[in-house]
Amino acid sequence: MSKSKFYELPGNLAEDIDAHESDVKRFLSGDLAPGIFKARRVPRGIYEQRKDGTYMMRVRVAGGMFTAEQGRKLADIGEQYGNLHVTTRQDVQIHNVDIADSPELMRQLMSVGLTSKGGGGNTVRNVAACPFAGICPSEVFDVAPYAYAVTEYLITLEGSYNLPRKYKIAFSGCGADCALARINDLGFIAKEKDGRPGFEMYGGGGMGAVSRPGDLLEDWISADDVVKISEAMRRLFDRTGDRHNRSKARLRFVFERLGVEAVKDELQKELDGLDGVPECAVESVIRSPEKATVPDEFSEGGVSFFKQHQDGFVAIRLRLPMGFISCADFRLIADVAEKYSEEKSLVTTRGQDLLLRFINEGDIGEVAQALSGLSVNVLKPGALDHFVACAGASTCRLGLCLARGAARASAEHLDEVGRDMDGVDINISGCPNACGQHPAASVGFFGAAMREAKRLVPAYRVVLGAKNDEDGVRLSESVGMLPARAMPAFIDELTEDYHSGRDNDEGFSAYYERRGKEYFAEMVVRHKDVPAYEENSDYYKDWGVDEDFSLAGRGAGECGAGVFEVVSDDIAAAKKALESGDLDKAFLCSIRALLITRGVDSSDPGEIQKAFEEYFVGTGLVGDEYAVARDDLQKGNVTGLLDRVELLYSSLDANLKFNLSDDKKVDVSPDEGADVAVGKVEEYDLKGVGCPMNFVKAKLKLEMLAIGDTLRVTLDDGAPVQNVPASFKSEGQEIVETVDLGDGHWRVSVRKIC
Amino acid sequence: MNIKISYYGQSRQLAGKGDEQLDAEDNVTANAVLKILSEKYGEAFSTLVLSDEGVLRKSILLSVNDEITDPNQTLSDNDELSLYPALSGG
Amino acid sequence: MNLSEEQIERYSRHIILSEVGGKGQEKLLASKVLLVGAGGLGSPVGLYLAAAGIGTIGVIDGDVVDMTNLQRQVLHSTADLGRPKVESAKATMTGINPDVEVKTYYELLKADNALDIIKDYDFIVDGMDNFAGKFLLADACHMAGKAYSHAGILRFDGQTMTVDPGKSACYRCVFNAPPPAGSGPTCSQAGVLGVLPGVIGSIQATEAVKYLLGIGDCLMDRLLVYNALTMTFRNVNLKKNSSCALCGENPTITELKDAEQAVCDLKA
Repeated sequence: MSKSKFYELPGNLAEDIDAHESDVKRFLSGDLAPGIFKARRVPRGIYEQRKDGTYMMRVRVAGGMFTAEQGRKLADIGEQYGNLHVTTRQDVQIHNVDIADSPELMRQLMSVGLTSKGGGGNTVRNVAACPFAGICPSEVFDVAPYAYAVTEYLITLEGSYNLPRKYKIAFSGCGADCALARINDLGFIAKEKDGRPGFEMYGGGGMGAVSRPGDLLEDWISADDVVKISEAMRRLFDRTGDRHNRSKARLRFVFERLGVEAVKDELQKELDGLDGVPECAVESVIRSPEKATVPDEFSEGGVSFFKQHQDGFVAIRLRLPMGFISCADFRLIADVAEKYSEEKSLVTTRGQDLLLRFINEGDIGEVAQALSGLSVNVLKPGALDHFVACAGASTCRLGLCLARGAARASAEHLDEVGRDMDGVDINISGCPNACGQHPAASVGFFGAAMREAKRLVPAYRVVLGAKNDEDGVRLSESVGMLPARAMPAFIDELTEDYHSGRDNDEGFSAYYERRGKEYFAEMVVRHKDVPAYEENSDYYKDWGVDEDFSLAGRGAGECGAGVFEVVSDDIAAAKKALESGDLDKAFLCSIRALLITRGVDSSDPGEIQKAFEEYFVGTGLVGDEYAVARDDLQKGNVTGLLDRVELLYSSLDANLKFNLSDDKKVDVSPDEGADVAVGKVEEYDLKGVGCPMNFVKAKLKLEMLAIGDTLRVTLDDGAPVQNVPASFKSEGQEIVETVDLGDGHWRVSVRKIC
Repeated sequence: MNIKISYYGQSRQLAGKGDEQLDAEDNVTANAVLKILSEKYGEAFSTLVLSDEGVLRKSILLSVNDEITDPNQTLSDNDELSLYPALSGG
Repeated sequence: MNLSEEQIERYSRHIILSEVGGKGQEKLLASKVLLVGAGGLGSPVGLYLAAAGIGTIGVIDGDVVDMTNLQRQVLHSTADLGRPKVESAKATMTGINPDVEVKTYYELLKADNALDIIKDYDFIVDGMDNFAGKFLLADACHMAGKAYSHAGILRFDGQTMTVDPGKSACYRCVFNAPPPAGSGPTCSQAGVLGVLPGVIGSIQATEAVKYLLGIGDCLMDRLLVYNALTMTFRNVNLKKNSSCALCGENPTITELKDAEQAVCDLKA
């Protein structure tokens, strides 16, 4: 019954790790620009943390399922760096990694069938599944194997690592939708039809600053087609996603832009054009559950567990406070799984907990005894387990508030007053981007800032009442805003009110619906007051910080590292080489720059030349400039070639298609039908140009563009990146993105509005 | 009723002050006030402000409460009458 | 955009302003302004308009630099004594900004040359020191349909207004005659605080730049009155006079005429 792993790794993973190792060495010796390195490491699941030089590695755990052996390896790897962290997408993160060690860590992960590939960036992210998959009394069939199948297929494709934005897929075993399939880019909910396994299919959902429930795309699709559909949707997204505007890049914006019917048509076209994508070879045993529901939680001797549909087996819930766990504890839990789990496996949950599966009901006491050696009581921790909170401003540059600080402070208060948190689960995001999943929360908060007599006050917007069941999805709605300091008392009052007012086993969202929005809005108002600074300056500090709250240093995160940086870095390198007279390098960088838009990423000159000839000369995108420069390597000739490359780059649109208005050599590749309204994009390198001349020059460039066009400027760190975007904003222009290139420069994209 | 008079340019020199209050009859016209002032400040002032016919000279801008005014306008209590002779210098 | 690197730097503080920008600066560089008089008022106007990059600046003045001018006419320096003011003005202005083309007219504005000279300009600045000239320019600008800035100063008092011919009140709507002779000391005999034309001329330059850019509110239908002693600014609201001899319903001034000038008006 036990397995050694749950999904197959891509065949070329070893080579990919070798490439990563070479990149790390070049980066550490200064040969590889930080911006390029970032573009390569983020899709490999390695993020830089806020503290310089430390990295986080996100290991994809398909469906959240991992073996005891894999668990022990994760503990071993994480040991030398600190804690492990279970994410809301069921990954396991290793923090504070030394980048030099990362290739070795990847190899160790690989040895147990795990990888961090696709853990971050614009990739196919971890495929989520209901944590009760395979054991739930109300599941139609076990959906986890489908999550593995989709993972196995998609992670082998190069195209999965260079999407317009991240692509999230989820599977649920019944309409209770524990995996939030209805709020993912692509979601599947198990459904039987004429005795055959299949899925209700949703698409275009997601949470973020702009959240959107998914649309029902098909009432039923055959389970055999799941991989095909996932691949078709990936292609559709690749083709139609907006690569220029990061804030509108997710698949749900394609749904908004094209409309759901058009998306369905496009999806069908992609499906028709698929070749060689296998059917899902999963044998599913269909069950006939009475109703779709989250399984009941039982308690015995202080242990929370769920009864599996397999007679005599239970799954024990291990509560990790906000997903954190020490490596020693993690290893011990893996050991317990090895010993007591019939399947020798564990599963991570969206609530950042672990489930010990396939425990003999009779062993519960023994398991509890074995777990008593942990440093945290995972069987019965305090209120903190009722919180999901993102890292917030502690490690994320987008974060406004310290979500985890607020969660800890609230939990501490709730424990202190002895508040039972039954039925109240809280999601906190540090900013409107929904990493803490507040849009799907029955009780949620997201970070904001209030102004009180000229001072900033860390604050949270209170969002309540989300639900997701067979009647559909309702995202949480805002009922007001309160200072961060008021959160503990507010949650206390809210919980007490709910407990004293609920009918029998009425859930919070149902209670919310019955009481109505106004009722809770009034409750928020009671906690809204901010005392004068002189009276209580605590209100002006975020939880866990001694300094007054400020918004300094906020900017874009680094998740979006992608194609454009790589192209612009190569063009910059070509220019530099041209200046220094290194014509060979200038030529090579010039022709390599655009190759990544065609999926080619190489440093071998022969390969580069061949690919360039195929994709650019052969298609007529580049004319004689190429042959002239290649055959007579003179500065003027290389400059001519580079000019052409730059021109092409400036016309690159959301489909990675070139749109040159001044000649007829337009790219005929992908589909002509896609109606993507994206203006021209112009690059402008203002590195080394101080304030205010950088703004002056950028402004002059922008003046020459048409409304709707975008100017992408490269600016120095410090005053330039602090001032130039603000100046454009004050002129009414739109700042589309501000990206740290990691090499002391920033890329700021300004869309001309007026 | 009370009228405030403000003097600019040459008129200020001739009046010897920047402004003053004047007790005037109700419904007095601006021109009538100028006549009163001409009597008060003598010939040079009178020549500057009034023509031989005893009406406001075209070289003077007259305003009531900062609006350009016809000299025949009747004044109200607490109006401010200002005299701005044209300035030739450059 | 045709600005050179040097121009981008030189005009950077203009370009930053959202009301100006690169396009606004190019507009200024393509603009033509005529200064009538290179004396007290004309000096700050010339300096600031040259610095601002007004592409073509005409200067008309029939005088030479005199020692008594130097207390306020900052276009000229001691070394320029005896030199035609238009020449020393040109040297100073192109010294500040070589982008500017300065056209000089070493003569007085007269009824027979006024229309011919002003026809090439987008905006005209009255910096003359006598009523005859001020009335002549008011009439000429009205007839040629040219917007202009009027100003007058004396002792500690200054006045200025901007006229958009036919649209806003003209000079003659406000003052339709010079003061009578003998109503007191005039012009040079009256004295003038040296910095006074600096204040008023700077306002005229401001009006010129705003007018050319088409931004803000110019002094149309308003006379701005300044007193340096009390340090007060005052706006007197004006309106077009329907019986105005120049711009009214039945105008009596239909051609340009030279008025006789008081002797002292010729040399201020």
